[in-house]
Amino acid sequence: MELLGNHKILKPIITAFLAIMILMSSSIAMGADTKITATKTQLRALFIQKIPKYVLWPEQEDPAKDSKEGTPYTVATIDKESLLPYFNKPESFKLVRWPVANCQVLFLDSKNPRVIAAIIQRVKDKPILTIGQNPDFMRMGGIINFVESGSRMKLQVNICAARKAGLTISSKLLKLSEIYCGDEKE
Amino acid sequence: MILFRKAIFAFFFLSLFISGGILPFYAEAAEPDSSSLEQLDLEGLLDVEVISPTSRKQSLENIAGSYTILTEEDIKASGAMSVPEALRVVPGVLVTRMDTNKWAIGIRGFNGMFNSKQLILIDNRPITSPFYSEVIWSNNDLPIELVKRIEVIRGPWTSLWGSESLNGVIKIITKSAEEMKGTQSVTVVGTDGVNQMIRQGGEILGDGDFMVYAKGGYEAGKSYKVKGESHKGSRDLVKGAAGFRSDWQNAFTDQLTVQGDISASSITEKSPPGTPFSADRDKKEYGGYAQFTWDRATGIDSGMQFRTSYTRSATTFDDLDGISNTVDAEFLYSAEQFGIHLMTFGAGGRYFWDSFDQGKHVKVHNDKFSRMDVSAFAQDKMTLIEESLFLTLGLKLDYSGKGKLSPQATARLLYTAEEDEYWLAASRATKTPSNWAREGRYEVRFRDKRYEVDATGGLDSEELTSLEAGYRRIFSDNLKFDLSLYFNSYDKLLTLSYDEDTRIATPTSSLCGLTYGTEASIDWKALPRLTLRPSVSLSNQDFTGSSINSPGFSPPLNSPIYDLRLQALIDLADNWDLDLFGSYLNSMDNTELTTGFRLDTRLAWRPVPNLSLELIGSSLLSPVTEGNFTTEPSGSLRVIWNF
Repeated sequence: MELLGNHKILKPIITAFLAIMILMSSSIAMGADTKITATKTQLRALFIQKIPKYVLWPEQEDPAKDSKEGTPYTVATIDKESLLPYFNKPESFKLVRWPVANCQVLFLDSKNPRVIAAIIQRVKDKPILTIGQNPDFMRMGGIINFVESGSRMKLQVNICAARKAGLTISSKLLKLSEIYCGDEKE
Repeated sequence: MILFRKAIFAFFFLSLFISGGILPFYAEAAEPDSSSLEQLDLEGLLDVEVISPTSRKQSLENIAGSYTILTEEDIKASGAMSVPEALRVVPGVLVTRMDTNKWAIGIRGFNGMFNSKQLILIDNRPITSPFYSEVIWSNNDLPIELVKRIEVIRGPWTSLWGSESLNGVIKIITKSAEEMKGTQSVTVVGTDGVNQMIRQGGEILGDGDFMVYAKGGYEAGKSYKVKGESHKGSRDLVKGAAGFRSDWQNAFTDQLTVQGDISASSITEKSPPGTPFSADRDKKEYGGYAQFTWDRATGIDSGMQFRTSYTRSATTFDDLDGISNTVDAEFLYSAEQFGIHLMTFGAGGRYFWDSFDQGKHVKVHNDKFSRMDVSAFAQDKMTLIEESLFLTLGLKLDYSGKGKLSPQATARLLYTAEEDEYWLAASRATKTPSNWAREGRYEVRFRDKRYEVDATGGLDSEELTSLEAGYRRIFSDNLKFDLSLYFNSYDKLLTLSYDEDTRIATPTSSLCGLTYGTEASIDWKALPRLTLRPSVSLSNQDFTGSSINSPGFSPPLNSPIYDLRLQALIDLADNWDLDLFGSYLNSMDNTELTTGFRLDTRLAWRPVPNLSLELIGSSLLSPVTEGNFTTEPSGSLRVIWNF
């Protein structure tokens, strides 16, 4: 133990470390809150599953055309793992990883804005509803963008990009969103 | 001694156990109720309050290799003031401060300064000197506040990065100009000296951003314990640097970057024993570089990049003064996924020229030296089973000047499931000996006798055949485990052969042997306010030959070592952080080795959002073992102010 004697400082450090851990373990979790809350990812996933109801695809592309029930919408995304826990209705939505040959909705959740721009370039003339979460998404030619406003999520809709893609956005969705044509706010 | 080692082990595992006992009560923080949310209509969703997730999402690396990433936050938490210091927390990497401005860095059982066997890149530009195969840190004094990420890749990745990356690659990625808008001042005052950095960033020409910085510092110099005795190191380091970076976006998919810096330093050099080539006089060094990069994204994993740079540095080893220049260019093309194939191609070239003022003690064969290197590589990542099984095949051809063409090959298999992944790799790598090994003429001491080192030419490439395996698992959003195993067989490693009669030491390609070992690490948010990162590295080397412990070319340690590290990141209160890093390195056969026990601490306080005050303690515990090279403790106050 003589060697430990060289480390008089060691003991208080270990003691302090353990004390901190015990202190922190006794901190009490906060009580329930009446406001409806959601994490960003969860809220975006919910929006992605609501928005298609307010969008009309060209007839041959619309999954709702076949039957009353409709075939599921194919939603392509880059980070599939993070959305997967919130997509639990396989009869309505099929979540796949981009790139895919066919999809109706494309959620561009890449952190790299240049990747987002490159993918938009590729799909902008196809009937694919591009959804993003980037401040430049409207300028890049994306169709629907999530923006944070305080502690709420707001929607931006680029009607010119939608028109180019052959998609019709319902007036209800437009009423709840900020409307853009490319860079310009309408 | 044995008792003490047991105590260290016991503490290490006890701390794991205790936190493990607390964990189950906090294992999963509940996510907001999803059923009530699903019933909301669009208007309802617009009224939902966004909250931050309680747990940090862990993700798998998706790479068939041994890999550690240090983020900006990790670097800050480590209290590191320079790049080599930041690398201390990385499992499998040995960092030794050899003098005020000299560092020895080694990966997986190697250490040393010259002919080092890993490649270090800043923004894809190699900073490892092509002549010496060493990083001259005094000319590469990148302010740590500009670093966005450090990626450490252990194992041979020569199929991608070429001959110099025999044992691994350390990639330093700096922040973009856009991420450095505004003004930042970083002041460090402490027992080691003072340092001041200031940077200013803003917009330029519409879609562009720029950043300029300047820094200056003074370090009085430390004392070092070498084989139990205290020695003074070099004194009065005065250094200054200035640099810039500018990024332009073009059509959103392209980024053009121009960056560069210049630096100069002066020091009264008297290095502690064991540090090669001390000038024992006042010396001045300078360096600088300029780089242009064009980067285009064409999809998630596809794109193209062109990079070219010019680097110049003036360095002194003992009494040998040298000026080296390097021009390089490379082009990388990553194709779109085509069927099962994801292909990447690259080609590059480098020309370097050096000129020397011969010294009395240290000379080189040629006053002027130049060489042209070219290389090309292809890599294919094949998807064998959709989203789960991938095979990567890679081949690089390196051609250096008069040398021969050396192929670098690798095959890597990755199996990834939802929460875990397994990988296997087999690689064949070669490393051209540094020119220093062929050119340098100097004296070394070996077994208390002096020898004149004289290269007679005819050195072969160093060879490595490597087998690696790994396993990573995400146990919960808060807990991730990473394990790698390696078995490396080296042949024709460079060493010195001593002739007692003529007292001449000749570099020869004659050292062969094995290294094998493992690195295991855990990243664990044990409590909402506590993150623990324990790691264990074990490494054993088995090299035969008489001159193993001779000075020279970053030799294998040739001693079984174990290395325990524990990083504890504690969120004490709002705006207060306490970060601790303890490490213990020792050999299992009582060979004298670099360090013993080490403790670094950082206490940070942010009184207002744009100001942070940190108390940083480094090497707080003196080593118990009579390790052969250790620094004395130091303390600093760092003030970071954004305005």
